[in-house]
Amino acid sequence: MLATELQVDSPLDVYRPRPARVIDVERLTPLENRFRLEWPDGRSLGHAPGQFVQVSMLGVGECPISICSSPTRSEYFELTVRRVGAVTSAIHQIEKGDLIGIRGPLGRGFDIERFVGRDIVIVAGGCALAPARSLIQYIMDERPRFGEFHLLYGARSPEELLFRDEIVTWERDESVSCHVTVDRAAGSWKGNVGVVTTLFGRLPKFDKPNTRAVVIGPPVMFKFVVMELLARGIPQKQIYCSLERRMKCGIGKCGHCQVNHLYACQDGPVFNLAELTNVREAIE
Amino acid sequence: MQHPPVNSKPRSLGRVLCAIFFGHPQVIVLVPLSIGILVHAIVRLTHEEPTHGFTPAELVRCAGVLTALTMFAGLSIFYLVIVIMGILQKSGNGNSVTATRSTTEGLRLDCIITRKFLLERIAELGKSRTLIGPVARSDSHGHAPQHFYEVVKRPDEIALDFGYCVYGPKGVLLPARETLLQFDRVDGQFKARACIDDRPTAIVGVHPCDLHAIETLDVVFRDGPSDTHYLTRRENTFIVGIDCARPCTDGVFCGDIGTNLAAGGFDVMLYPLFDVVDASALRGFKCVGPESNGRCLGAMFGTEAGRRWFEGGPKEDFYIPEGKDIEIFDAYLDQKREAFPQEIEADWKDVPRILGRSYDSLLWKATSNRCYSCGSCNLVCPTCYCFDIQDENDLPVESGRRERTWDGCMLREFASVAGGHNFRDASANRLRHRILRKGAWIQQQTGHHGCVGCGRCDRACTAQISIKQIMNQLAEEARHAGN
Repeated sequence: MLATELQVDSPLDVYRPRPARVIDVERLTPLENRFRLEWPDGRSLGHAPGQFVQVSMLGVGECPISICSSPTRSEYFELTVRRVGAVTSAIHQIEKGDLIGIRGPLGRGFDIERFVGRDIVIVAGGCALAPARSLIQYIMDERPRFGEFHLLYGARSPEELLFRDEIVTWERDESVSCHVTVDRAAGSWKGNVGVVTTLFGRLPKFDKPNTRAVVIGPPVMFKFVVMELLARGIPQKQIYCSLERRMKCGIGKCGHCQVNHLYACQDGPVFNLAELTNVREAIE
Repeated sequence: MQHPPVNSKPRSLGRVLCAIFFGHPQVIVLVPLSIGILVHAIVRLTHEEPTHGFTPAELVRCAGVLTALTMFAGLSIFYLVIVIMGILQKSGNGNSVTATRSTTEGLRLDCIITRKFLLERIAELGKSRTLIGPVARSDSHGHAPQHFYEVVKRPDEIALDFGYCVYGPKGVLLPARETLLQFDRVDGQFKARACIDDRPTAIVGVHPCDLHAIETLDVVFRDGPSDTHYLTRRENTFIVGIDCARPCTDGVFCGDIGTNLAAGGFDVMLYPLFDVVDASALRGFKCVGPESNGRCLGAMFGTEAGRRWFEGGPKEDFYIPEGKDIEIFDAYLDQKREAFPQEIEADWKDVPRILGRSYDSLLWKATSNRCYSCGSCNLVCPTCYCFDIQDENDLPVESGRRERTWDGCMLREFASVAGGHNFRDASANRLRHRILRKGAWIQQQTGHHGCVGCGRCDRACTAQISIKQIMNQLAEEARHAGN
């Protein structure tokens, strides 16, 4: 009863990756590379900030990777991949010009319309600056459509900071208040030291009804940032977060990304915090 | 399947009249009424001698009324003809069925057949499909034989009198291991082809609980981005259900949920009427004794394909139930309802609410302390559909396969992510997740049962953890908490 005895190809199969070409590779840290990709037929990916794709290394496996570029730059899309397992190690082997399997864009991203005209606070931790970058780039590319823009970013050490060149441009840009911190630093680091919530003291008082906050980061950071925002009077329904879970199929079937009754890959990964009331596993 | 030639039968007229009377009562009123009005109008027009002739205005009005009435009568008769033709067409093909009553649960007795008829039909089914059914298997330790769904060659290998199968039939639709893609990597290029299994299959002998479970799987794999692999296999699977007259074993709670009855999800549903009622009272043929045609079964059709399957079987072993037979079916169902004791100490409708408030209960840790996180409960559960995807390479490694295998939320690594964080590291959290999915969340997501009460997980547990006991203990907690 081997299914391989019989094959009927289905071009629309949801599990079938399509080849994308790698047009640029940049080393961000010893563990993280940024890959710029395009479809061979020149189409755009058509994603929303916050969505993800499944990246296939045929023969090794598949893993979910956030799209770290904005749809406003539609001629390509970018992925930042941290080398942690078999698939991501294999991805790190690929070079400019190679083909790589992509399924997506998948999941629910940020609904930009809910941010237009609002003051924005983005709090990102660790490698979650990558998914946050798709939204940051969007806001920077269409800056006049948004109000005040605050960006808080924390990493464990200066060596682990992602997109350092871009951070410098954001810090210099007067239309953004960009603050960066590291948990611990040695040597030449002249910036802030401390967890990301220590940066809140640098922000002006929020225009509460008009502020929309975005939290993306590791599970430990999550709860504390949300508490900080709530303490500053931001209502739950104005806080958005992106949940990291194990996504195997990316289409709401395989069950790995369940967060109580929700599927992070289909219902999220971007959620409004109000949707997560009583979804205890989301923040715990 | 070949249809037998259409042959008019003496019983046709009576059947047509019955069907019109029960199925289309509006015709009974509409047709005679419109004809009556028409005749009346014509008679009045022609027989009442006008004293001084018609005025032109009266003539126009009469003509108008006459035209309208004629059209009305014409349409009514046209409708009658369509109804009759529809019925004749149905009754023309061999063994046929006209409308019979349904119970409140949507159950219906469409025909009565002998075992001989069924075996002949299964053999016919086996000519065009792979047959799968419950088969008794003994182990080498001298335990009593247990039933498993297996591929069979002959109809008589299928144990239709089985109690329960250790695993549900989900493996037929969602194999424990299947190939999703085949791929080749040549010169930096790659080709990936989807592997879709569209071979025709038939599962013969599915109990109502498992029919409900299949409905849940259907929704999971159909809604949202649909899963071609599952759906293609499902479309090509013919399902013959078989009803349980009584609980298959102690402790099952399908009766509490209502999943001990199924009104859909099958092509044909069989009812072992002889198990409960004195079937010798059946009108059509003698059902017991050496000279009988074999023990008889009732059947309900769920699909047109199911109906067609019974056409062309031996006619002497098939008949349409009427009167007394329907009473026997009703008696069977009455006795069945009595046969399933209440096992859950709460109304099943309240279970999602009870579970929703159980999040902080001590019971999760208390129970999970003895859990081995072996995943046996996931393995045997007919509604557990979670899976993992892995790549397998051929040698040389230019080609390979992407495979899907069953996975289980009770296994420790199920919710861990790259980098090592595990979102359900404690076994108490995994147990709570599973029970809440079964009793509340799957229902919330799909609108179908997350748990069908089959009791398989309770029987399979290597640590004697019982979902039924957990639900009953939580129901008790809820009663004390006053909610």
